[in-house]
Amino acid sequence: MSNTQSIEKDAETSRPVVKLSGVIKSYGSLNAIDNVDLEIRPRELFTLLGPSGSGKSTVLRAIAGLVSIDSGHVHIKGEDVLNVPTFKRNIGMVFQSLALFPHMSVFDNIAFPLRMRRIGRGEIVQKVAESLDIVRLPDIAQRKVHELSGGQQQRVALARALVYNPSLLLLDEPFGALDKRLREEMQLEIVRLHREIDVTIINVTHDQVEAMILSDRIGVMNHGKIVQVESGEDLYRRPKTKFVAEFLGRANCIDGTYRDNNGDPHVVTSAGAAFSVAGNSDVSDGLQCTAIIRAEDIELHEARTDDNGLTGIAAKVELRLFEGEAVYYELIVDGLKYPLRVASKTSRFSPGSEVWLAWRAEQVWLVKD
Amino acid sequence: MQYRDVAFGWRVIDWIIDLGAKLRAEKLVRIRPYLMVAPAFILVSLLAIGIFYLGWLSIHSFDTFLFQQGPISAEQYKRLIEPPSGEFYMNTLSRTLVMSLLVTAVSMVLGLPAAYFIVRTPSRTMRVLVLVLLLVPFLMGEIVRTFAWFMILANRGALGWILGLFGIEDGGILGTPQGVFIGMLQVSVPLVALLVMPAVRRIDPNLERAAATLGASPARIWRHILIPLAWPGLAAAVVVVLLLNIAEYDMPAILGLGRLPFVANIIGDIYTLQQNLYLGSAFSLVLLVISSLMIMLPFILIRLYWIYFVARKT
Repeated sequence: MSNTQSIEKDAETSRPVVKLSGVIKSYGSLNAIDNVDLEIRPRELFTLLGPSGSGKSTVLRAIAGLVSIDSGHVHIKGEDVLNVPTFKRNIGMVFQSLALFPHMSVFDNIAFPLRMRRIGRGEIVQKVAESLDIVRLPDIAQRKVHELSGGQQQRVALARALVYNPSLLLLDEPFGALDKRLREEMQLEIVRLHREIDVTIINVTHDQVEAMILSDRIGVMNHGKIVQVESGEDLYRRPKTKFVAEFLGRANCIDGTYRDNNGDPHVVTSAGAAFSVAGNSDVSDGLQCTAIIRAEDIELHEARTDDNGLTGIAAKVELRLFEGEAVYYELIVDGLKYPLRVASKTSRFSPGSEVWLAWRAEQVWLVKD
Repeated sequence: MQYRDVAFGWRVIDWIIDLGAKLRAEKLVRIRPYLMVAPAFILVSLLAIGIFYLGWLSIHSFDTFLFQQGPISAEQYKRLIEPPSGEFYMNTLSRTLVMSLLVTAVSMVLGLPAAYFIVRTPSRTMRVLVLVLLLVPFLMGEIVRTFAWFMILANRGALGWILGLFGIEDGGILGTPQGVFIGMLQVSVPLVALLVMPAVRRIDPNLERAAATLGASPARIWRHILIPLAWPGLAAAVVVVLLLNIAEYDMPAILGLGRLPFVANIIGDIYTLQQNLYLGSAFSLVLLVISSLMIMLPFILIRLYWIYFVARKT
């Protein structure tokens, strides 16, 4: 379809497709979205990531106009859409339940948005065929919706949301209910579609792996607020808060006090154990902070190593699980409330044994408390 | 221990179990389904016998002088159609049908949004409030409700008083078609709402949201999503409300002051005042046949809908 559709080139490519400023939506005393500011760039694949109840779906619905917002502004392509009803916003949306019309055939489902735009018969037939080609499902136009498999229904829902060339496609956890294999297949499908079609996509998910695979940028949400907006790798390596660190992958958060020690910075835990960290301008001497170390960055040794690049802490093995690609350990450290988690290559340490945990100082990321 | 030492209560229970085992013998198992439908079958048969008896009576002439049954003839049906009496009976029939259809149509238009509101409102208080408002007048008994409307619609009633405040005198609408219409509507709207509610509740609200994102205005969401999906419930509501309205008796009698009788009122008069079982039977049968045909109409419409919009030649 990319060669036949009329691609609207934004004169100012930097102008955001969607801009939310100070958006608040509350249900009773609870703020479902709490003062959200967000800018989505043209042709971006953006993901809102957060635990359930964090308000990510409400943000999507506010953009679509399916919930009325209490205050703030939503701009789509520079236009304030506060008083524009959903059906005039010209956006595509795929719901978690897919919301295919059960009383219509596949053809009628995909033709529905075209009919709502009073497009002629010949063009409807041609466009439906094109969009079914795009989702790689030719020859099923006459089938009933309930005759299709889960994956086919997903593709039909995508085709229906794309057939009228919306400039913005919203995905409200459409892969949440799929099994793992189908979910990965559909994620790749989205990446492929995004490459082929000129469309900005906003995806909502609670699946951090999906978010990192798909997205150009990720906005992490918690309690109705956007915590951090960054590319997946930046979020993973340089989280701004403990919440973001713990939400993405396996992170160990060690609370302690930052000591500058005249250019040899250390973090000292409440039990007195100290390990060196890379310098950090955000944190000053004597301040409470949290050191974040990824589970896969920690090495296990029998005893303290002499390698100068390595720093570390003593621990005792509590739990060992074989996961296939790694061996997962939980280790008790004196003075820490929670066990540390390590994904290691070796399985030679059995529960109960004393070990030395080692990591490179520059792999520690410091977050202010 | 001997069996006779067993407590009396248990001996009774054992006896019942034994009896049950005997009754559950092969042959009885086979006829049990028929035994279970027997009461319903007997009831329907009795009704059918009654209708056949009506038909038998209706094809006889009746000597009003001797007050006795005459020979078989089409006299009663002729009296319903041909002048001089035919005009009155046919006017009554068409008044009944036109009013019933009108009331049914308007109550669908009012009842469907009410059902939708009850199902979709996020506020529990509002849902309960609207349900109660719909149900209370509906459940309070026909005579009480009708006379309540009588008080409102009468010449010096509540409606007349309110209209009087705006300088409109003689505002009562008792004895007019409008009066009967309002009374019938008040019964029909809650009924439509209650009958349609389960059908609306089965519709996934995300379908409406999806339709809106795909460019359907609220009116078109109704036209293309809600009404087609609620169609079975709508058809049921049309049938029930239409039937009740065609058989309406006390609204025309009380709110119409007897000036606008429906078929049911006239049949009552024929039976009680004229004491003419034969003419009454004929009129009853005519009404029965016409209302049966009208019930079939929505089902024919559903069939046509399926043929033209759902089933598709491959």
